[in-house]
Order: sequence, then structure tokens, then C-alpha cells
Amino acid sequence: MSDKLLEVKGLTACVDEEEKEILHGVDLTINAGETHVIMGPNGAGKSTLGSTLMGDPRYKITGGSIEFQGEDITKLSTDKIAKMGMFLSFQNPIEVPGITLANFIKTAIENKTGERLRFWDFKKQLSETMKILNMDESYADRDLNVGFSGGEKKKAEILQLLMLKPSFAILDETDSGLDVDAVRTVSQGIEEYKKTVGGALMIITHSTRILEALDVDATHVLVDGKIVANGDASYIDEINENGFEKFLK
Amino acid sequence: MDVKVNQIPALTWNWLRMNELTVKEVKALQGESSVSYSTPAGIVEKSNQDFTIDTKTGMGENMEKLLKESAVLVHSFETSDKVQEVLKLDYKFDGNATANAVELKVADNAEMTVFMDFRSEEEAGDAAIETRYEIGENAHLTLIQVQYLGDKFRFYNNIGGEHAENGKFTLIQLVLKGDQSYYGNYSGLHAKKSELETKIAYMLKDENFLDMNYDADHTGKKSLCDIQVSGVLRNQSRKLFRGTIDFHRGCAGAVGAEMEDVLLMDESVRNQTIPIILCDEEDVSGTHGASIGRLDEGMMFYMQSRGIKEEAIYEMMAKAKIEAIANQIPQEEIREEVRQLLEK
Amino acid sequence: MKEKTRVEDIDRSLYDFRFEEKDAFKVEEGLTPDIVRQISKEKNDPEWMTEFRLKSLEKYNEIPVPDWGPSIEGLDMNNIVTYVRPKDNKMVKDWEEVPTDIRDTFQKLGIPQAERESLAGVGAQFDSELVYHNVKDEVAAQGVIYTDLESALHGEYADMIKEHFMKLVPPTDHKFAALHGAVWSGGSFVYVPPGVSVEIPLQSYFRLNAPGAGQFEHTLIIVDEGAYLHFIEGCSAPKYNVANLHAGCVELFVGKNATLRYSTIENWSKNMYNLNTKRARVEEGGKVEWISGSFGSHVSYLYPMSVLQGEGARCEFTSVTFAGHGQNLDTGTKVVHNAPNTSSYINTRSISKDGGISTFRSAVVVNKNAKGSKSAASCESLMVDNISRSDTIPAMDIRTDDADIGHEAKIGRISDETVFYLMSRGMSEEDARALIVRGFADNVGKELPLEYAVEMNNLIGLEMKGSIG
Repeated sequence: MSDKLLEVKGLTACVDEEEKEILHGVDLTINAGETHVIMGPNGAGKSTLGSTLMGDPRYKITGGSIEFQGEDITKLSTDKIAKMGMFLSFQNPIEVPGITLANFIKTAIENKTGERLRFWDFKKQLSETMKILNMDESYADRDLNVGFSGGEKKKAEILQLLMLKPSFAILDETDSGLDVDAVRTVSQGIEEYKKTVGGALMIITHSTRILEALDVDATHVLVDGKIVANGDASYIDEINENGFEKFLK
Repeated sequence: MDVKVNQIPALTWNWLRMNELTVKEVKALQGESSVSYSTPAGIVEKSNQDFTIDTKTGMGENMEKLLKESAVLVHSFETSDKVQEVLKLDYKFDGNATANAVELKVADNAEMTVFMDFRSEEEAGDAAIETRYEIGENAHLTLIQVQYLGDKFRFYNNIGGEHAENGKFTLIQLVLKGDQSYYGNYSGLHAKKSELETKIAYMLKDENFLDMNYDADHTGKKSLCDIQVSGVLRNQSRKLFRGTIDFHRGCAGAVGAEMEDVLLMDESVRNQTIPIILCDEEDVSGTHGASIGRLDEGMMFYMQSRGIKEEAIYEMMAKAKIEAIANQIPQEEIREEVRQLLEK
Repeated sequence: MKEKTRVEDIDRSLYDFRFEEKDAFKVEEGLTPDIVRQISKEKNDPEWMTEFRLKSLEKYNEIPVPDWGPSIEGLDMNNIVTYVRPKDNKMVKDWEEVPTDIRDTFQKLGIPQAERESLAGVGAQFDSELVYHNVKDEVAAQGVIYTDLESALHGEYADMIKEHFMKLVPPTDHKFAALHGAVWSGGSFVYVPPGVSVEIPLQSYFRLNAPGAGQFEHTLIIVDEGAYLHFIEGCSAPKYNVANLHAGCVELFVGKNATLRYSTIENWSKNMYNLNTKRARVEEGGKVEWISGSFGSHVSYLYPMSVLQGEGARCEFTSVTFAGHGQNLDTGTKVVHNAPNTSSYINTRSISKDGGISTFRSAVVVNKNAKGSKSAASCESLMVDNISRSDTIPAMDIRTDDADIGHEAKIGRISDETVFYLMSRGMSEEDARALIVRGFADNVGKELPLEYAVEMNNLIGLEMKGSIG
């Protein structure tokens, strides 16, 4: 039991403004270092699940519980959840004018550790990590996500993943809309994270490309706000062949 | 003595109390404050009894009169070269209701950059400055002003000038510290392709008040103006921005844009804005946009998801707003100075 | 220019017909306590109203003319007849009983037909008094009251009137509110009981026939908790060479979770000074929707105001202003956010042509207690030629940090490219331009009931004809 990292029980959540329930009781357990895949048709609530775990104020938790590292986090603010070691790679990363990518990552690390980073140490680490992701170093001094292409935005998310070294990362459609090369680069980044940090992953995806080099421990099928089936890695191929038909009653 | 300044060119409802500012208990201005500088090669300095440039100013006639009554000499800096070196004017206000008068003249095809650094010796006091400019054909004047005054200081900063064909004025103003600040600029864009570029950033706290009046007066064909104002309000501070793009008949092809962006940090702040577009000419394009409020919720969630606390995010964004404007200053040494002031 | 002449002829025939009423009762020109007393006596006012009128007159004399809007120098109150009543006037419920000339007027304006086809009730005012007022039986059966204000003042709703009359727009508000308080006459009173939804609109139509006269109708609408009403206001007048004055007043009380849609297509003649005041107070969860088209008048001051008084109250303001030759139309809106989580949405278009002047003027005030409030405004202006004028003067006063305020303004002309594109598909330049302007004004058009949208498009078409070449 000691390696249980995330335990979600009967989680229900609705959009705050509309009071429309989107998650209708999700149960999910992820142990340290495991890789889980969440699949499901459009509008099933996959992204909502990811955002809700991260404490997104747009969603209101109406029932159930989320335990992370043995602590109930349902009422914690997003920054505290992040500090505990959870990370969300956004499907649509937000543009933040005025703050450079480098500055942002540095501030985030300093906030997490509570220590000031030595500038040159940080710079070196950042530039090495950017190399792994084939990112042009000039991006470090550009405003966070502002004017980045879709691919660069996703790379910048993975860059943050590698720099912040969380124990649990949720990757929300990180591969969607990317060309083959970009997917390969992003996959390399995820492998690097597995290798160097060894954290757990919850991958929300439509495709298998990003999963090829990963050992998937479990696959969950989310339909209409509920996990309707759990399986191993073989599920992925099956769904890719037959679609979600058999899960839709 | 009460003095009415910063009146907008087209009035609106009086109950809003935004048409103009009545400054209460204005002290008569007397004597010049000290200013140190060294004049770069290519710039000629003169002193005159009076202004030689005939122009309107942003703060208006009452302010001009107040300054004129101080009878201080007008320091004129003129060039007919492309001067690369910055003319740096270091003002040290002693707070005794001082007045400074400056004229900046850039002849045809010339260029000049002037950096006015406003500092005070005392926590409290009054100071006023009026700057008039004249920009020749194909000439470019850049005026950078940084205000870092005592927390009880009251400051009047009045600018006005005229452009010849293709003459460009770049005005960068950073209001970093001081209690009551009154700012105004008038740009006479009366010649073809004359251009005004204004970038203002401010950071107000406590009971600071910043009152602004900016007037871009377009009569020249294809004249351009771009006014960007960006700022942060904390505590009980208040700001009032009046910005007017005035397209007169005949300014065909003119383009004007105003953009305002205000970050509200505390419950008791007050933000007033009146962005005016007056248009008497068909062939123009004028736009205005304002975005006022706290940080966007999505942005906040994104940054928090990286483990940064709300307060830290606000601090970061506040600084970023000023830096975004400061970073547009071409001279690294001035940018560095601003950075250091922000770290204080 | 030939085209222009022809068009003006058409324009006339639409609204510009009149007849001389020799036997009408009129007060003398000008404004004195005696005239005000006379009007009050004619109208058989209760005593409090007579006093109210006289006090308002005092205010009128104290308050200065606005120093910020279009000039109203051409308006001399000493020449304005403030009260004109058709001879032997009585308000009836049957068009057949309306005097022939007056009935013809409203028939030409299409009012009885609209009533039969698409309205739940109609009030028709001719000069200073209502000549017709009727509401469909099924609507009356729901408990909806729709009558003229004078009857209401003497009937079972007298207390309700006294409680609300000029409380939202006090005579001290501005000079012409004071004038209205002194000489108001006519107008409608609507009360919609809690939970009642009036499915089809009510309409009041105001026709000013007498030259040199003023019209000062008062519209008071109370939409109780959870109720819904769409109210349409129409107005027109024939053109005279002397100044006419309209200083009406509209007070709307929108209850908790109630919705009121208030639509106006204003088409006063071009000798009219339209100094009108409209205001709504919206309680918790309620909503007011203003749909406003301003086409007529020589000078207009018109800024419907929404006071968002209860938590979650909302307002939407959608307007189009079309200023042509000889017109100076100063229009816009005011919004006061006075409670948490209130929201306002402003969408305006203005068009200037043929030397016309249009000004968009607004004020958005978010008070300290209005936390979580939102306001979004978008105003666009179109210059159709180079002899006209268009000004945009929006003001914002935000007194809390917890507010989300956005504002956009744009000014420009019809793009040559668009005209070229349409012409390349075989359209004449004139038609292309008219089409573009119609599209530009569609923010209002698509909010109006069909027949009014058609009327508005006709107006734009007429205004645009002959505008080039």
C-alpha cells in the first residue's frame, strides 16, 4: 500500500457556472512510477478529470475524494497540489505576456524548493533540457507561450515537466495536433522523464503514437463521465481497431 | 489656489468628474530645480527667457500659465545631427515647488534621444516640468522619462509639440514612485506621415493618484499614433486616463490606436478611463481597446499548476507589466536602471 | 443628386403626412407657472401631482443647459406649446371611435394592422393625449395592466404610480427631466404580475402632429418577480420648419428574476429636438434588454441607463444610430453596477453620412460592492463619406479590483475591397454600399421582431439611396 500515489474515489464534478455534472463518479488508483492511459470518446470528461485533479477552479467537486500521497487534496489550491508533486501538461497552454519562459520556470522551481537558484546553474540545466527537446534556445527568452506554434507550446510543457520533476504528471492530449517529428520529440521528453525522474504518468490521448516507447501499466476507458472498463496495455490496440462501440452500452 | 488642468477636447457628463482635473491647493511655482547633465556632441544648448515653440500642451493653458509665472529660464536642446549618445537630464527636486522648462528641437533628418530621470531629495514636495518639442522632416525624437520620487511628492509633467512631415516622436514614460502625478501630452500631427508612439507604464500604491491627458491631434495625411498604457494599481491608489485620438478633416489615411491594460491588485483601488476617438474624416482607421481587471482565471490556474502562489503570481505580473514597457527602451543602461528601481 | 430628390419624396410619404387640427385645445406657447397649473387642471391631476409639477418647473429654471452635448440653441422654450389635446378627446378601446383624421394617421403608420397581427396590446398617443388604448383579453386575463398613465393615476393603481413616478429619474436629474416633471402628459403604464410571461409584445406609439409643440409622455413599466415582457415604443412626426420638442421619460422597474425587453425605433422628423430620458432598475437575477434604433430627429440626447441593483442583475444594450444630413445624434448608454456578480453587455453601431454627426457616449460605473461583475462593450462607427462626423466618448469608472472590464471601439469606413467584391458579383455600387450598411446595423435588426426589422432596413435603404455620385 505504501506505493499508492493517487486514489480517486467516486469523484463527481460539475462546471462551476452551469452546475452541469460532467464527472459522474470516477474511481481510479495509480501507484508510484506507473503509467496509466485514459481513453474515451470526445466529450467523455477526460480533460475535465485531469483539470479537476489539479484543482481547476472552473470545476466544482460535488462528491467523492482525491487522495494524493495519502493526503486529501479535494480542497487544496492548485499551487499547493503542484508543490506536492502533481503536474498537468495543458491541452491548450495559456499565453502569458510579459513573463519569459526561462523566468517562469525559474520562479516555479524556486517556489517549489523555497531556495533561490544560482542563475548559471539554472541556465545550464535549462539549455541542456531544451536540447533534448530540440527547442531553439531563443524560446527561453520569449514570453511564455506567446506566439508559440502548437508544437512549441507542447514542447514548452514537456520542458517544464523535465525541469520541475514532479512525482505525478498528467499529460492532456500532449500529442494531439502535432506532426510526426514533434510527436517523436515529445515522446523522447516523456521517456527522459521516466528515466530520470521515474514519476507516474496519467496520459490522456486519442492515439498510440506517444505510447509506443512506454510500458503502459493500465488502460482506463472513460465514457460519459465514468470509467466503464479497466484493462492492460493490450486494450489500447483493441480500441484502436474497434473504437469505443462496445463501451457505449 | 485651485487649478483646472487636463481637460479633454470633447466633454462628457459632469457627474462623472472626468472631464478635467481640479488640482487643489496648488503652490505658486518658484525657481528652478537642479538638473545635471552633460551635453553630447552634436547637441546645442541655449537658454531663453521664454518658449520659442508655439504649441498646445497636454495639461493645457492653466498649467502653462502657472509655469510661466515662475519665470524660470527655458533650456533648449537642439540638434541637426543624428546623435546616438543619449542626452541624460538628472533632475533632483528639492520639493520647494520648483519649475523646469525644456525645449527639444530636432531639425530635418536629425535624431535625438533624451532621458529625463526624475528623482527627489525629500519625501514630500512639489515639482513641475514643461517640455515642448519640435520635430523636423524625417526627424525622430525619443523622450524617455522615469519618475521615482518621494512617497509624498506631487509632480506636474506637461508635454506638447509639433511634427513636420514624417517627423516621429517616441515617448516612453514610467511612473514608478510618487504620490500625486499629473501627466499630459499634446502631439500636433499636422504634417504628412507624422507619427506619435507613446508607451506608458505605471505602478501605484497607497493613496497614489495618477491623472493623465493625452491628445493626438491629427490633421496630417497618413499621420499615425499609437498610445499604449499599462499599469498596476495597489492599495487605495487611483488613476484616471484620458486619451484622445482626434481625426480632423483632411487627415486621410491616418491611423490611430489606443490600448489600455490595467491590473487591479487590491479591493480599494479605483480605475477611471476615458478613451476618446473624434472623427471628422472618412478615410481613417481608429481603434481603442481596454482590458481592466484582475488576472485571467485560466492564466492564474496555469501558473498555479506550476506551484506558484497567487500573491507571487501577482507580484510577477505587476513587474512584468512595467518591464514589458521598459524593455522597449533601446538603451541597455536605462533598462538596467529601471530594473534596479523595480528591485528596490 | 436627381436620385436624392426622388428619394426624399418617398421618405415624406412614409411619415410626413399631417393635417391641421383647427379645433385642438392648446395651452399658450412658453413655460410659466400659470401654464403648468393650467395643464395640471386640464388633466385633473391629484394635488400631489400639481405640486410635483410646480416644483419641477422651479428645478427646470435652476438647472443649466448641458455644456457637453450637441447645441440646442435652435430650441426656444418660449416658442414651444407644451400641451396640445385633440378636440373633445377621449381615450377609446375601438379604432372605429377614434376621430377619422387621427385614425387615418395611425392607419397609414400601420398600427391597427400590427395590433391585429402581432401585438398583445396597443396604446396610441396623438400630441399630448392618448386616443386609443387596448389590450387583448387573454393578456388582461393574466392580470397584466396596460393603460394610459392618467387613468392609472386615478384608478386602483394610484398608489403604485405615486410610489414609482419619477423616482428613478428625479426631476433634479437634468434640465429636461425637470421640464418633463413639469409638463408631462400621456404615456403608458404597464404592470406584469409575478410569474406572468407576456408572449407577444405590447406597443405604444407616439405621434406628434402639431407644429411647434412638445411631447412629454411618461412610460412607467413594472415587471414583477419572474415575469417577462417585450415592450415596443414607436414614434414619428411630420416635418415642420419650426422646432418641435420631445422630452419623454421612461422608467422601468425589473423585478427579481424578471426580464424586460424594451425596443425602440425612433424616427422623429428632422426638426425635432429629442431630449429623452430612459432608465431601468434591475433587481436580483433580473435582466433588461434595450434594443434601440435612432434614425430621426434634428438633435438627440438619448442614453438609456441601467441600474443593476440586485445580485446577478444583467443588462444588454444593443443600438444603431444613423445620422444623416442636418442631424446631430448623441446617443449611448449608462450602466451602474451596484451589486455583486452583475453583468453588462453593450453593442453599438453608428453611421454618419451626408454631413450628419453621430456621437457614441457611454458611462460604465462599477461600484465597490459589485464584486465579480463583468462588463463588455463593443462600439463601431462607420463613416460613409468625408463630410460627416463620428465621435466616440466612452467613460469607465471601476471601483473594485474584482471586476472584469473589456472595451473595444473601432472607427472606419466602408472598405473599397468589399464594395469591389460585391460589385464583381454584379451589384451596383449603391446597392453594395446599402447592403454593407444594412449588415453593419444588423446587431439591432436581428433583435427586432420581423416587421420592425423590415421597417428599419427600409429606413436604411432610403437613407443610403443617393448617398453616392
